[in-house]
Amino acid sequence: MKIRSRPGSLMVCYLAVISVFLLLPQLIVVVVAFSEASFVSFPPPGYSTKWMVRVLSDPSFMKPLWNSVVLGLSASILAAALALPASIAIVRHSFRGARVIQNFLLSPLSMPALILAIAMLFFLSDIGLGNTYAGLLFGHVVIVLPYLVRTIVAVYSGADPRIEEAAYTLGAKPLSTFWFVTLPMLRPAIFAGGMFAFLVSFDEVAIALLLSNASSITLPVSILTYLTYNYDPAVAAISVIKMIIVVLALLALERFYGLQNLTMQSR
Amino acid sequence: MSNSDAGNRIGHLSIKGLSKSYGDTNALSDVSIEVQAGEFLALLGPSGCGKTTLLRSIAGLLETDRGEVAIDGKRVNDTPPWKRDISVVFQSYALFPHMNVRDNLAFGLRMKKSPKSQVDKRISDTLKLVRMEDYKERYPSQLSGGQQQRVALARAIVVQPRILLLDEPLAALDAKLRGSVQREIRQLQSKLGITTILVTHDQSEAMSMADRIAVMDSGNIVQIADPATLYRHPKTAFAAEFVGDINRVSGKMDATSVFAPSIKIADGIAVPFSADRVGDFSEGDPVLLMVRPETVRISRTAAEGFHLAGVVDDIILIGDRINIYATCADTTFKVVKLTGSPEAEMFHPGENIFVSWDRADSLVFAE
Amino acid sequence: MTRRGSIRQGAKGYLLTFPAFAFLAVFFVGPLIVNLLESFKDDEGGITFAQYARALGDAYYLEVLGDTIALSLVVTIASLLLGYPLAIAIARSRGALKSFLIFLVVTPLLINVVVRTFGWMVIFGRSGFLNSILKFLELDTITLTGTWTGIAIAMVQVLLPFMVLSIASTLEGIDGELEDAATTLGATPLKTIIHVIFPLSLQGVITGTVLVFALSIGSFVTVMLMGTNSTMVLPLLVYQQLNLASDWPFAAALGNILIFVVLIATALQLSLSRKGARR
Repeated sequence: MKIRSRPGSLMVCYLAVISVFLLLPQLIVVVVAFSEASFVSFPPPGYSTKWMVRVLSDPSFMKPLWNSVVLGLSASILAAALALPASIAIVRHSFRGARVIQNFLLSPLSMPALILAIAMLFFLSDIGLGNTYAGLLFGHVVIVLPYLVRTIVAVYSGADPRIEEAAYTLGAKPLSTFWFVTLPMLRPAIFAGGMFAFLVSFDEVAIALLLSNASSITLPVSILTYLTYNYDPAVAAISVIKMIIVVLALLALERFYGLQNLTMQSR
Repeated sequence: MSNSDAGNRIGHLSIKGLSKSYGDTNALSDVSIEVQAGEFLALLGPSGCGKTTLLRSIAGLLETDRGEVAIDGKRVNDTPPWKRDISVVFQSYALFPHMNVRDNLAFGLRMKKSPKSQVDKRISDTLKLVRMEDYKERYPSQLSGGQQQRVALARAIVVQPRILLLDEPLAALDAKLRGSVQREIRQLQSKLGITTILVTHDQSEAMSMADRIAVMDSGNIVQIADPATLYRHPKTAFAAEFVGDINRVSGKMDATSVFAPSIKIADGIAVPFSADRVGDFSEGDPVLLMVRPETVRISRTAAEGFHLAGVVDDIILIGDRINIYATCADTTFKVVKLTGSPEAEMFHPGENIFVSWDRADSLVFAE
Repeated sequence: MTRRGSIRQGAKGYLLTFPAFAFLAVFFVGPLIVNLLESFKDDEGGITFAQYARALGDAYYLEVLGDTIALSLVVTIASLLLGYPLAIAIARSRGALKSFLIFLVVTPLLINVVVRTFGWMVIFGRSGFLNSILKFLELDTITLTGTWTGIAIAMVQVLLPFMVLSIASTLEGIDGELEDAATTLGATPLKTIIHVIFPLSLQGVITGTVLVFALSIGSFVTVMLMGTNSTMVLPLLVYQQLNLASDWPFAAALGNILIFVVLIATALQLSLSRKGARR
């Protein structure tokens, strides 16, 4: 079939248009980040790194950047600690309701984040965690947990259960088998799922908007609030720095896991 | 391999009344087997016959409902797999994907706390045994199927198990490789003398490798015998049909006299069979008559005594053999002759012929 | 012994899933329940439906709800039409082209919505990219910022990847020989797509459609940054009720209406995929 071996000319046109459509906004942001002007226009009248320098030395952006990194890492690690035993149980211990529990663990994915954020706001103040870092952290753990569960379950389901049985017959007790066989086999999945979780948390706006405070404000929130009052290349510059971090994380992800495996499982 | 101490580790396996059911299906019903130390036993049967369930319960990977598994006279039902000293080669090989060949072999030795000084030597010796000594640093994904199979075997024997279990170990190999690997495993087994149990659905594999074959059917052991006995004197129609090719004809017990027992098949033809098979039959019982294709004679002239008249349908050359299909007494008979033998060359489709066989070659089973 | 074994297995399973389960029960289900209770609470602590009556009885709120659903439907349909050929291209291409196409789809996912919306603001702004081109071509300039059209275009770009990935993962599972079979039986490539590929990819289409609909009905950043007073969507209204009016019970009620719409979409997905699976 044509489209399988060699795309037709109509397909090529379409792919070109859609590529521009999907990539243009990001490219524009990169160009504006190096604008010389003190206002946003396109194309910029000249190019300089002055906005990059300004943003990098501005604590009102650098502090949130650091906050985002810390929050993303802590939420991912905490979520991984919850997701790993649960995923292993879902795949290997065929217990009643395993399927239901799996769907439950994935359910935060289909909840509008802003509504969840509002609900958490009420709830956290009711249980005495209102306006605390723990509240923000737990909110992000809820959001990123499904990504870890999904990745680990998908990889572990594909692993041959005979591998662990082989370890048993070779004299390894269950704990040794977990430590020397299961965990190393799952390491790429944990890493990939954790990286994915980090990126989701790093980008999350709604929960951070409502649950963070002046000292824990995250980068997306600070960009959003800056943008509601200002419209200058500073936003583009900080966005480029954020993109660089994301691309680096993505390259690491690709190295450990392969991008192609990130296409979502339709389950 | 430095198996100076291997001699006293070879295990004798005794299974008594082992049963296991999943819901309404009996995967194993009251299975008993004795496997002598150093013996090579094959569990042969179609998929779902319970052979893998039996293997997994021997390894301790599966809990059974009733019965006993004993190794060297000691009951091991409640011994977990990691304390049983039984190695398994799985159909999927189940090599540790994150370890290279050396570490795959070292795993069992480390878990069983072998002295460090011996580990390297034992790994090298074992890899030499399976001709994989040049692949120590390779990861499983960098090996071919045949190479993975050898590593799986090496990983299983390097720990000097009391019993070696092979779960369809050759199923994933291509047909050309299978024959040579069968012989290699057989030689290795007799060299090391490990008590070995092979699970397979391939009768030729079981016949060519095992000392004895246990034929299994829906959770039961139908017959345990050496390959020759199993082939010549199958106890049931199932065993007869599962091991080797066979012609089958339905009939009725005609005469049960020990002097001239016979079976009546279509057209009222009486087929003689040997007296030692009369057994518990009485006249009029519906029976199955079976004859191996290579014991059937075919000729242009009627033989003296018992014979069936018929027509040649088809002649098919299969390399070293020729299969002649002929319809006699409403049944298609397959006759196998060696390519180049005089009988193989002289017939043509459509030709009228006669077939016959010795009464000793008539296998008779209850229908 | 089997029974004992399976019970032990089951207990172990529950034990291992318990931490994650309990965490979500407290910090995910807990808030939703509190939210639900809050929306029914009246001043004296009794039960009232007043908040819902207010939300659904007022022409303004109904209009916002209607606009929100309409915008989400437009974005969803546009994503489906634009994304389907891309999903086919991903599923059927090999090597470098495939890697590029996957990069094309995944990269936007990893760039923040705020940043991408900012990009669209630059494109659509008065002295932005689009108008520079129009000026260069000596055409009339247009302003899309603050219009439903501009918002919808930006949202399609934000949500398209979800649609493409959902469909592509189903298409990947379709046997390529099926297409070859259809072609050898005389079907043109277009007919093959319509009669063979599309029906088989329906599961992915349903998943992607509901996912994009649910995401777009809950999204507020694009409207918040690009919109004006005349372009209001429900999530943003909820946020404003909370932030500006501090009317918690009413915000909770509006939020629950939104959740209700998402639940209907999900239920529709379930029944549709069951129907699809039955065929």
